[in-house]
Amino acid sequence: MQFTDLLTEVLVTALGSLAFGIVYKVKRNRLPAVAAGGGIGWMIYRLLFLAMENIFLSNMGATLFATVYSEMLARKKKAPVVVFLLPCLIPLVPGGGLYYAMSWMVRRDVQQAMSYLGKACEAALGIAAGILLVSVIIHRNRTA
Amino acid sequence: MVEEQREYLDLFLSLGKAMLESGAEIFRVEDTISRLFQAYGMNDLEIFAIRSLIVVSARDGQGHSYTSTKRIYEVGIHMGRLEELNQLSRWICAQRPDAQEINRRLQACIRAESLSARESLFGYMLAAFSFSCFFGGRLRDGAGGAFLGLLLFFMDRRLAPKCPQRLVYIVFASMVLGSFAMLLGCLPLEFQPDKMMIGTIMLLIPGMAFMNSMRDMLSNNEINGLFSCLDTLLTAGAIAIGFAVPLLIGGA
Repeated sequence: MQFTDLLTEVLVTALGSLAFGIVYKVKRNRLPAVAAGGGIGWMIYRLLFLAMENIFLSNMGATLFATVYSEMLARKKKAPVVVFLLPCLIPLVPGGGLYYAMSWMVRRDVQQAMSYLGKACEAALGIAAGILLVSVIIHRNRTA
Repeated sequence: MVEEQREYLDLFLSLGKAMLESGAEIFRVEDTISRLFQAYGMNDLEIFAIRSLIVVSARDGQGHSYTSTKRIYEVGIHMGRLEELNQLSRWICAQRPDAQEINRRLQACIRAESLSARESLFGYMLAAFSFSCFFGGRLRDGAGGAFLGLLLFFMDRRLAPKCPQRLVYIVFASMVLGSFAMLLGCLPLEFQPDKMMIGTIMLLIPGMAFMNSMRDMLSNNEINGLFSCLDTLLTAGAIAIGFAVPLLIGGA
C-alpha cells in the first residue's frame, strides 16, 4: 500500500467523521477535534491491519485510541464522552460488510454472504471489546 | 415546601428525559438526576432509567416522599443539546437556583436548535459522499451518494415523523434509496450502485444504539443494553431487507 493511498483514506475518513458530527448535531467548535479523531482512528486501524491482518484486533486497537481520545477531550472540555466518541468511531462501523452480505444473500450465494457477515460481526465485536476494555480501566481508576 | 420539592422533582426528571432523548447513556442520566437531587438536599434516592422510562422516588429531610415517572417515546441524536443540558446540570448543582430559573433555562436548551436545516442537509450529503468514496467508489459515485443522502434527509424530515413504526420506515427508506441507486446505475455514466448504497447505509445504521448498548451493559444496565442491542440488530435487518428488494428486482 502506497503512502499516498493511506493519506487519501485518512483524509476521506476525517471528512466522513466531520459529516457525521454535523448529522449528530455536535457543536460547531467540536467538529475539528471530531474529524481529527476519525482520521487518526482509521489510520491506526489501517496500520494495525497491515501488520496483523486481523479484523478483530485492528478494530479493537482503533477503538481503544478513539475511546481514550474522547475521554481525554471530554474531561478537558467538560462535555459528555459520547459527543466525541460516536463520530470518531463511525468509520469503523462495518457498513460495507453488511451491504455485501445482503447482496450475496440476494444472489443466493450463502457462503460468500456468511463470509461478509462474519467479517462485519468480527469488526463489531472488536469495537465492543475496545469500548469495554477502556471503560474497565477508567472505572477502576474512579473507584480506587 | 412540599409543593416546591415537587416542582424540583418534575424539573429534574424533565432534564433527565431531555438528556435521554438527545442520546445520553443511561448511567449519565441516572448520575445527573442523583447529583441534582443531592444538591437540593434529598439524599434518600431511588432512580431507575431505561430507554423508554425514568422512575424517581426521593425522600427529603422531613420524611416526605416524592415519586414521579417520565415516559420517553423517541430517542434521537442531538449531541449539541446533550452538551448544553450537561452544562446546565453542572450549573444547577453549583448555583442551586430556584425552580423558575431552572425551568426557563431548561426550556431554552430544549428549544435551541444548534444547526440550521441547511447545515444538516450538508452533513447528510457530505457523509454519504465521503463514505461512498471511502468504500472504494470514485468521485462520481460519491456525487451519486450525495444525491441519495439528500433524498434520505428529506425522507427523515418529512416522512419519518408520519410513520409510527420506525422499522417499517427504515425498510421503506432503504427500498427507495436502493431503487434510486439502481436507476442511477442504469444511466450511461458508469455509476457503481453498490458504493452509492453503502454510503447511505452508513447514515441508516444505528451506530449510536450499538455503542450505547455496549457502554450500558458495562455499567450494570444489562436490561437497557439488551434493548439497544436488539434495536441495532432489528434495524440492521430492516436495512438489509429494504435494500434487497431493488436488488432482487434489478437482478444484481
